[in-house]
Formats: sequence, structure tokens, C-alpha cells
Amino acid sequence: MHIPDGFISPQTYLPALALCGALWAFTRRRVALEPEQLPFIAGVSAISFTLMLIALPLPGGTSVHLGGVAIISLLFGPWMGFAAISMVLLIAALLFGEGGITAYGVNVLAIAFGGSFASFYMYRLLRRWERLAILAAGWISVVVPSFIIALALGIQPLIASEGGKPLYFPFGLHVTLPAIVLPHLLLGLLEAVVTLSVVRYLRRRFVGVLGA
Amino acid sequence: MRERLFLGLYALWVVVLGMVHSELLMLLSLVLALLLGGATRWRILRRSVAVIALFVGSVTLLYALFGAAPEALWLINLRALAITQLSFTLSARVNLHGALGFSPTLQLLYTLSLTQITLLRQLLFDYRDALRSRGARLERSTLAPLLESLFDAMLRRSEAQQMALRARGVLGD
Repeated sequence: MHIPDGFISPQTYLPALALCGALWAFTRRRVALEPEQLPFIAGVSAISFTLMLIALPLPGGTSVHLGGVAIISLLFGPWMGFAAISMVLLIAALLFGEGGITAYGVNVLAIAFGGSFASFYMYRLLRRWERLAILAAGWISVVVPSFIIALALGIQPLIASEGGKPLYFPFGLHVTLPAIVLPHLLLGLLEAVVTLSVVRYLRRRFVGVLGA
Repeated sequence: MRERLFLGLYALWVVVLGMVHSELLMLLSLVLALLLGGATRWRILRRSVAVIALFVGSVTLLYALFGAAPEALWLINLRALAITQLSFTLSARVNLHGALGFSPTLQLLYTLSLTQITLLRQLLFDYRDALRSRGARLERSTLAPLLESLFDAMLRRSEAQQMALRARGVLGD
């Protein structure tokens, strides 16, 4: 889901960055950010970055990368997840080239905000059935970001084209929504299974330390 | 101060590249980034091409399959390469820690995150190599010990960083 530079218009990414700025300011107050917490937030960022590097093999010789957004959100809470994954996306964009810097605002809104909050509230909604709740949280943490990214890409031809020539991402919503969201409905199932085993294992292993 | 200036100029230039629809400007920016890249310029260029190739390639191919002229994407693809090259040149040539000095909290968070990422990535790669040397690979059954050591290392390192910062008077009273 990493969008490189040049495919998102400034008319999209500048408001997205402004919205991110407002959300970060609110997060700072919401989690009552103390300097003492910074090493812990940095640690959570590093864990989510590392989780995204883990590829599990699939039948047929392919593999799938963990997203890790639901894992972080369920273990540390959605605001912490939002802050940590925002930092991860910045480092990934600047140092590792995973996701362009112009797509950063959209990626933060989709993955860090959309993914963290959708998974956390899905879990809360279904928490009476814990396994199902974690599975659903893992699934939706992939589906919601894919929907937001499909929207952001799909509106580009509406925003800017010159004499029928696209200036940014060339395909409209009729292409991006099925092309991006449908595969993620299936990938979400794998993320759900991994999220279930990882969250349950880590909650058992680190009793009293982890758990939002 | 110089780093902050470079970061500001970079941000401004990225917005300009997004707003001006000229292939010539993209090419000029690419040449400028190559000039600024110093001895590592060609390595940066190879990396930039590798990073955007899959996305750009699949979009261009799909566009052609839909019956449109792929030349129409020339500007978009050049823009993608120009901005990516500029970003990698910035991270290779400018000390980002210094550039983030406008916000001490962000600067500290960036540094702490990067040190933890370096540590945890190395743990992951070592574990993967250890599995490979034993003829095994990373799968669900071998994931648990890895996760345990990653979280354990993260919690210990966060605690150690907190104590180190406190001892140096960065945190607390």
C-alpha cells in the first residue's frame, strides 16, 4: 500500500498534512505526553517498523508482510499506535523510501489513524467474544487503510488533468476501489490470523506490561 | 541551522515540483539532485529507480492496457523519480537529526526510534540467518521466540534509554 512520490496532488497532500498536524497536537494532549514516555513511544515505533519487515510464507511460494497496526493498537491503545506508526512512516519514507514523502499525510491518515482506530474500536465492539474481536480488529486494520488510500488515489483524476492527460495518479475511483480494496479484503484475513496469535501470545507473555 | 535550512528548501521544492506541470522542470530537478548527491549520486539514483519501479511500472502498464497512450504518464513518472531522488539525496547528505532541531521532542523521538529500529532490525536479521543456517525459515511456529525477544529487547532498551536520558539531565528534574 506504499504510494511513491508524484502520484498524489498537493491539493490532496497539503490538507492531509494539515489534518495530521491537528491530530498530532490533539494526540499530544490526549496521551498527556511526558518526556519520560518518549523512549517507550520510540520503542513501540521500532517494534511496529520491525513487524512490517516480517514476511510469513504462503502456500504457492509467495509471502505476506505483517502490517502490525492492529497489534500495536490493541497492545498500546489507538493514540499511542497513531503516534508510533506516524513516526515509523516518517522514518520509512525518508530513510528507506517506503512510501513517498508527498504521500506521507495520506499514509498517516490511512494507516496510522484509520488502521489504529478502526481496529481498536472493532475490538471494543466485539470484545465479549475475544478471539472474534481480535480477528476482526486485524482484518479491519488492513481494509480501512486500503479504502482510504483507494479514495485518495481515485480522486486524483477529478482534481487535476490537462487536456485529458492525467497530472497525478491516472485512474479514477471505479478502478482504485476494486483494485486496491478487494485484494485487501483477503489479505486482511491473513493479518487477522497473525494478529490473533501475536496479541494473545504477547498478552500472556508480558502480563501487566502490555494491554490497552 | 544549515540542516534546517536545507530541510525547509527541500519541503518547498517538493511542493513546487507537485504544482508545476513541466517535464523540463522535473529533469532539471533530477540533474540538480544528482549534482548535490556527491560521490553517492549514482547509488542514490539506482535506489530511487528501484523504489518506484514496481508502482510506476504497474501503473504505466495498466494505463496502456486500458487503451491510453502511456506517454501521457511521462510527466507523472518523471515527477516520481525527481522527488524520490531529492528525498534520498536529502537523507544521504543532510543530518536529519540536526534538521529536526526546530522541535526538540521530535528530534529526540526520531533519534530514539532510529536507534531502536537499528537494534530490532538486526535482531530480526540475525534470527532469520540463524533459522536459515539450520534449514528452517520464519513461519508461524517459529515466530513466537522472535516476537518474545523483540518485545523484550524493546522494553529493556526503552528503560535503558529513559535512565540514560535522566542521568544526563534531559528528562526529569
